[in-house]
Amino acid sequence: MPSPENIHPDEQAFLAEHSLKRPLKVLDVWALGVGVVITGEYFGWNFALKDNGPIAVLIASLIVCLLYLTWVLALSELSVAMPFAGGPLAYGRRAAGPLLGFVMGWSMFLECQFATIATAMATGGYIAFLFNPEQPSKSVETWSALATVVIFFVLHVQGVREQSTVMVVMTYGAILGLVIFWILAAGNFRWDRVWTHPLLPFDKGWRAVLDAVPFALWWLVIIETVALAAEEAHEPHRTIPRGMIWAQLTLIVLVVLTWLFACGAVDDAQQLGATEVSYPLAKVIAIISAGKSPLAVYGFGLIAIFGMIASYHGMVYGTSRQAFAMGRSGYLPALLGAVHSQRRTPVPALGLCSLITGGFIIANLWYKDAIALALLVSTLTALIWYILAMWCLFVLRRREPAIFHQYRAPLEWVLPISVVVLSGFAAWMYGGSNTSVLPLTAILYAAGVGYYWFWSRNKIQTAAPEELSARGRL
Amino acid sequence: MIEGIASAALVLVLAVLGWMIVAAYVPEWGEVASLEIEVIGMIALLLAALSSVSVVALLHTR
Repeated sequence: MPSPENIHPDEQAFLAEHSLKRPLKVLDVWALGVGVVITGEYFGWNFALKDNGPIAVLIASLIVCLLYLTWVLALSELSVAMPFAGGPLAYGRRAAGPLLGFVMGWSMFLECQFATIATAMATGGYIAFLFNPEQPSKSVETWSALATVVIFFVLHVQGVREQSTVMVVMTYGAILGLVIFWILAAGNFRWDRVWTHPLLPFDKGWRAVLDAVPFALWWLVIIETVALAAEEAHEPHRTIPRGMIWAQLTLIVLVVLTWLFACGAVDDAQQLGATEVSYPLAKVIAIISAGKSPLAVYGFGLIAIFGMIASYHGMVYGTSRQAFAMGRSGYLPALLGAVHSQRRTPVPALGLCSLITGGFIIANLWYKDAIALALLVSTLTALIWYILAMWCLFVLRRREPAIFHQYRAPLEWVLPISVVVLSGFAAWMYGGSNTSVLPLTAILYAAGVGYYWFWSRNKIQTAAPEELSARGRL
Repeated sequence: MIEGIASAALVLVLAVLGWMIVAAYVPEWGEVASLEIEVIGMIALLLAALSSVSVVALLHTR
């Protein structure tokens, strides 16, 4: 917290005007972590099954689980040391200056924004499935997705305490949805559908595991949103590590059980990997004998929507907080850094994120691979900043060890090295199997860095907490 | 003790990922056993690493 002798009066006034409340406790952080990620259990990972099979997806998923377990441990250390809504912006700014700060903040903004887009569209997909399980309507999907965007914009404008309470309830609902899915799918489960012969496809061998990794990342990507909550967390040195670890362990259990029952319940799991299947669990229910009961189909579909909107809710939180922090610091237009005078919520940032999401939902009417593309952009930009964040951790541990006095992650150097190697391994897979996502990601980075270089680098707000922290004054 | 096990498991996983890339692109160089044994070994190693790092994480945030 700022101390009067360090912070000038004008800086104190800026901080007070742009401050957020601090109501979040361990349960809220856990719910945010599980809730924001749980959509990955409901869709996205299934694309990894195509041409690869269940065992390749299991191995890819376990690699991804290990990546995220090590990542949340290391990220907790950075997050507690610099508990600001800017998260990666603050880490990069402090470790190497404004350009790295911008690149890391921009990466997380893109990660969250594209995850939000993919999740809004998939939410529409589940709702359209509910209306007509035989032939889901594209217009119902689009209108449902747009309605989701509007409803959650309004909810987030109300306040962080209110939206956190809703998040806890929706996270319980999302987990209940998965439990119902496991129970229904267990009735049709057979081991030989999971433990296939051959275990990996003849023509691909271990290459199948590598090809499955980019989509398996979607199981767990975006849990780092929790790091942005540090500025709104009560005693972040206790709440952030505990909340993140428990959330991550909960998610690993959900990943393994969902993979097991989804793949073991249908004769050919690869059919779940078709690009038009944005509702794989509902599809499993519709295929199996339990799906003959309308109650099972509609009941599960209804509860599954909890999973989708719980994650959408958390992703809107992450996108808006990153846009807010970058606007507050002057890296993006200053308007994005404004907060509502009474509710202390970042209304302009929420509005921008919702508008971008709405625009992509409409564009999805003409581009059928939009969901797969959006989630690949999201995961690739995530991997880029994971690697950069670990570099920041190396630099700051060596140069400013005192800032980590409240919390040090276990496993010393093995932990960040593991994150770097596992992230590099996953990122490298994009070059081999998903080349279409690379040009779009490159254009997005060029646009962002161009904006920073030609416009915002001379407009950085020196009183923003991320900037004060970088100069050792906060 | 458990931190040492977790560190060793992590380092082993990183090394095995290197082997997996070789086995994926040059299968005749990477073959060390039957595919079934390789798959079981890989899953066992990943589960061991996940379990040991999880225990360390829980002990560390008590």
